[in-house]
Amino acid sequence: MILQVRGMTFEYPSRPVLNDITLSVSPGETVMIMGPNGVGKSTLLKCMNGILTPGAGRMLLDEKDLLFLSQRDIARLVGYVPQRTQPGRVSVFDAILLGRRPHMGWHVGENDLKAVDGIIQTLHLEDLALRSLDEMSGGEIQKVMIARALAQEPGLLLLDEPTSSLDLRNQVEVMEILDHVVRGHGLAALVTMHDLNTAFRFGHRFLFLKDGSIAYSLSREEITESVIEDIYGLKVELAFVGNVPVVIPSVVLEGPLAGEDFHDHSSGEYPASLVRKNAS
Amino acid sequence: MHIERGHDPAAYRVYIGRKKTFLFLGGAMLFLLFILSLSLGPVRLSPSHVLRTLMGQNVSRQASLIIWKIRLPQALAAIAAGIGLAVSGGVMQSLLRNPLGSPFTLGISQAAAFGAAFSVSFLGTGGMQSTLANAVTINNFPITILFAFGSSMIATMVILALSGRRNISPESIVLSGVAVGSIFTAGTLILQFFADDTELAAMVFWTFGDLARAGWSQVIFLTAISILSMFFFLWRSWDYNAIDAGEESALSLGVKVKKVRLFGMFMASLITALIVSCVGVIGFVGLVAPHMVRRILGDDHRFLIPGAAIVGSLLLLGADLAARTIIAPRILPVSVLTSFLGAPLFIYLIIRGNR
Repeated sequence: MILQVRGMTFEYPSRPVLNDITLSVSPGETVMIMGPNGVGKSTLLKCMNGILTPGAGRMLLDEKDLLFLSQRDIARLVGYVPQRTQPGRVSVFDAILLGRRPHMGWHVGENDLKAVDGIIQTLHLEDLALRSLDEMSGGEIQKVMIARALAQEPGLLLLDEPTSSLDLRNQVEVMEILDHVVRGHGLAALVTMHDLNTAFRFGHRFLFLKDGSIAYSLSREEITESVIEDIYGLKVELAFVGNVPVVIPSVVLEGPLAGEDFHDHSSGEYPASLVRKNAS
Repeated sequence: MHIERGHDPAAYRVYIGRKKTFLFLGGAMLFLLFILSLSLGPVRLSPSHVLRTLMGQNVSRQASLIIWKIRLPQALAAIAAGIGLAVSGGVMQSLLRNPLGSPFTLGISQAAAFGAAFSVSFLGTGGMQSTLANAVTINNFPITILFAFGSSMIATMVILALSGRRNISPESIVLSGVAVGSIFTAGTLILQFFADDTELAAMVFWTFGDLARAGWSQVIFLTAISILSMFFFLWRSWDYNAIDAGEESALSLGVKVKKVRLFGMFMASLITALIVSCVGVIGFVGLVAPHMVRRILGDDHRFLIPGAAIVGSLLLLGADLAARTIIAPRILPVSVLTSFLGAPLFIYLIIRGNR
């Protein structure tokens, strides 16, 4: 499905958060939302699926305006993977089956069971299906959460920091799974992410938020050092591995805290051996 | 998006079947204990006599009298109170997202005890009779119940008002429940401090939960309400499962979290208030029964709710039977037995861990 957001604003009673957000996501496209802490990335996602109600603007998913849909109708169109989940004493199968809730009543139909079984096969979770969520690792739980969102059979997927608590291997695995289903099923995906390098590797387009607005909307090729310096307020260097940019941040603190105690290179700046090699 | 449909998951059906078997066995055990508790007592009746009397045959005048007038209402009160307390405890734990949620920890039971004490001391509904059978009685039962109920609804309203507020965490709701409970306990203590001997005896007597206290009309009412509420909670079980997964997850699955929480808390508190006003304070069942079931069946409310209902009534019926028979002809307060029976079992389950 195509997501088109026009002029969306959101404010908490105390302060405005998002201002005139306009964006679009095409089918099969993963759009990364980036920016410093507290800039409103998570808030933006929560406006998309009715957890928060925007003050103004339109949010069209194909022809339907999400603002005028009931919470249950939104749940049939938009899958959401929150930043934190509470793993209870529930089997993986039941946890994914919960994603069928917008489609089923009290009764669990055969169709729902088969849908869950299909997702389990797609994500290769067969061996975990009857294990309890509270005895699983963070990476496994994250895959189950993505599976639950897919069980909603959504057109739009929203993921809030899907890799923030995962180790390297699980980060890559989760992002590959995501990429696979987004492209394979023509979903539109909006993902918030702090880890720039993971974002650049798996995203198709990159929105940088600053002061509650979208400051840049760039493709991978358009990313420059100055953009990242502007958004995060720190000097960086970009290196390229293949065509994927890799960000190497410089030191942040100046003065006594960043002093010689931490690294006694005679040059006194940052570990030069690490950075200068990559600067091409 | 369209998902490729997989196969009908046989392994999952077996897994669900096991949980259903557990419920079925629990139900069978409950039935056996029910018959047992009707046959044991000062006068022993054979189980076949019990069954035949229950089915309306006139085995003997004595058996009919004992069963219909004494043991059956008491056993039904135990089952109804067990269902109601355990189910509302389990739902409160989910809705407040706190394992400590239960009628007792939220102060509802203590408030009911205060209401009863209030009616005894200010309206003189407590009295002393010098008969051997029943040394202390409460003269005006309906009024005492009414006050107990009103007072526990005040506690309920406080909890509900707090749950409805923004920016208040489930943890703080349970903490304020503890505070509400201690206010009412302090109130009861003041009333007791200024009460005369007769009133004091009536107040203390009331705080001991006693299943024999409820008459037939109350028993029928309690049974109906408990079973209806169980089916209501069962019907909403997917909503509670979603809330267990986290508030944001629940919202994104189309669950109106606030509404579900407010209404669920209201129902759970209402049932608790009714039970406590009819049979007095019976602690521990509402907290322990759901946790026992969680250890065995997991947190899925489709099975947790009926499981808690069965375990809760087993616990209360067993405690009642033990209370009547351990040092017969003396009868112990049932609430003492629920703790003596339930707590060691609970600690064992905690130590043993998962499975």
